[in-house]
Amino acid sequence: MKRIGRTLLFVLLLFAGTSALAAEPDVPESTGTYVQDHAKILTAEQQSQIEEMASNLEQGTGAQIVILTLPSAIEVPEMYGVEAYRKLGLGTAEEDNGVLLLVSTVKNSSGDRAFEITVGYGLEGALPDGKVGRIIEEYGVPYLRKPLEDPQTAIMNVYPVLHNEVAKEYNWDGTVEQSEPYAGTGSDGGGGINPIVTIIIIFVLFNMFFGGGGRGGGGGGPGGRRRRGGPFIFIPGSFGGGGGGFGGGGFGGGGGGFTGGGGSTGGGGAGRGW
Amino acid sequence: MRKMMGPILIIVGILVVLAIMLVPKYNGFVNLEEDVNQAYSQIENQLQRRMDLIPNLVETAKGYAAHEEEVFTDIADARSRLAGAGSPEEQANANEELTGALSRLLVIAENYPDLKANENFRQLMDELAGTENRLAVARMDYNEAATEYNRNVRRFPGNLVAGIFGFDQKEYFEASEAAQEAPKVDFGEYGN
Repeated sequence: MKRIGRTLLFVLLLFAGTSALAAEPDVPESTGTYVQDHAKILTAEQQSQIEEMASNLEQGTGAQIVILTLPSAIEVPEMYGVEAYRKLGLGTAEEDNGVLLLVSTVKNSSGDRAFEITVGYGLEGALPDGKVGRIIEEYGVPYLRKPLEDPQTAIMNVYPVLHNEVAKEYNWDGTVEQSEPYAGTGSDGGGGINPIVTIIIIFVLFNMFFGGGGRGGGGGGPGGRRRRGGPFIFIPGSFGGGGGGFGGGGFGGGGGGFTGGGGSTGGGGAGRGW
Repeated sequence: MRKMMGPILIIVGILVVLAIMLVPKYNGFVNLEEDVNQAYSQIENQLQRRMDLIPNLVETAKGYAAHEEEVFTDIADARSRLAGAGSPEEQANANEELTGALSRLLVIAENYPDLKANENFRQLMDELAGTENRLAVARMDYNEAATEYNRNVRRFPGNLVAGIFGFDQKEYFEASEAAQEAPKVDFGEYGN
C-alpha cells in the first residue's frame, strides 16, 4: 500500500523535473561476494552460510541472488534497487536471472528503512511482484517492524525462500531449509497516517501551491515544479554493469564468489519499509 | 574527352568518399532508432500491463466499497482514454490521469480496513506498484535513448544525413504542463 503512494510521489517528482535521485548514495563497488553487507547486519557465520547457498545456486541454475545492505537512507528503494541491480549486473546477460535483496538501516525522509527485492527480467515468472510482496510480509516484515526490528532474522528467513523459488523454477534439486512463515501475518494492522509522512505531504502540497521555491533540505524535497524537462541525468551508463568482473576473491567457505554476469532488470519486485 | 576525365574522376571520387562517410552515420541512426523503438515498446508493455491489472483491482475494491462510484468511474474513464491514446505525449497525459484516479482509490481504501487486509487486494497493489516502477524505469530508459538519438539527429554533420533520410526527432515520454497541473495531490495514504 505504502509503496505505491511513494511511487506515485516519485513519478510526480520525476515530472516536476527535480532529481529526487540525486540525493541517493552511490551504489558501492561490488565486493565480489553474494553478501555485500555494508551495514554489517549479518555475522561472519551467517554470511558464509548464505555465500555457500548462493554459490551452489549459481552453479546449479546460473541464477544469482545478491544481498546488499547499506548504512544509509534510501529515498526511492524501488528505483535504487534497479540502479544497484544494473550496476552489479546480476544474472547472465542472456537470461537476466538475478534477484537483489536491498536492505537499508537508516530512515529516509518518510521514516522508512528499505527492505526491497528487485527481480531481473528472467525471473519475473518465478517471482511475480505479488508473490514477492507476500514473501516479504510473511518472512520479513514481522521481524523488521516493531517490536523486534531484527533485520538479521528477516534476511536469514527471506533468503532461503527466494533461493527455493529460483531452484523450483529451474527444476534444480538444491533447495535449502527454510523457516515457517511468521504466525498470524496477513494484515500488518495499524491504519492511519504516519505523522512524518503527513508532514511530507503537507510540505509537498505547500511547494505545489506556492511553487517555484528552492529544493527542500534533507534530501528528497521537491523543488520548484515548474522546472520541467531536462535530460535524465540519473544513472549514466547504467547498463552492462557486470562484464569485467569485480575483483576481490570469494568469501571464505563458499568458493567462487560473485561476479556479475551483466544481467538487467526492468524494475520488477516488491518492497516494504520498516 | 581526355580533358574531361580528370574533373569527372575527382567528382566521382568525392561522391564515393562522401557515400562511404555517410554509410556509418546512416547505420548509426538505424541502430539508435532501434534502441528508441525498443525502449518505447517497454513503455507500451507496462502501460498495457497497468490497464490489464485495473479491472481486477476495481472488481476487488468494489466488493468492499461499492458506493464509491465516482472513483471507479474516474478510473474506468482514464483507462479508456489511455487505451485510445496515440502519441507518446497523449499516452503520458492519459497515464498521468490514471495515476491521479488510482491515487484517489488508495485514499479511499484507507477507510476500508477489510479491503486493505484482503489478500487479493494486497497482491494486486504489489503488482500495480511493480508496474508503476517498471513504467518509471521504462520511461527513464526511453528518454535516455531518445536523448541520445535526438542529440545525434541535431548535431552536425549528422543532421545532414538525418535530413536526407528522414530521421525525425523523437518525442519524449512526458506529460504536458496541462496534465501536470491537474489537481491530483491526494496521495495521502502513506500509513500502512
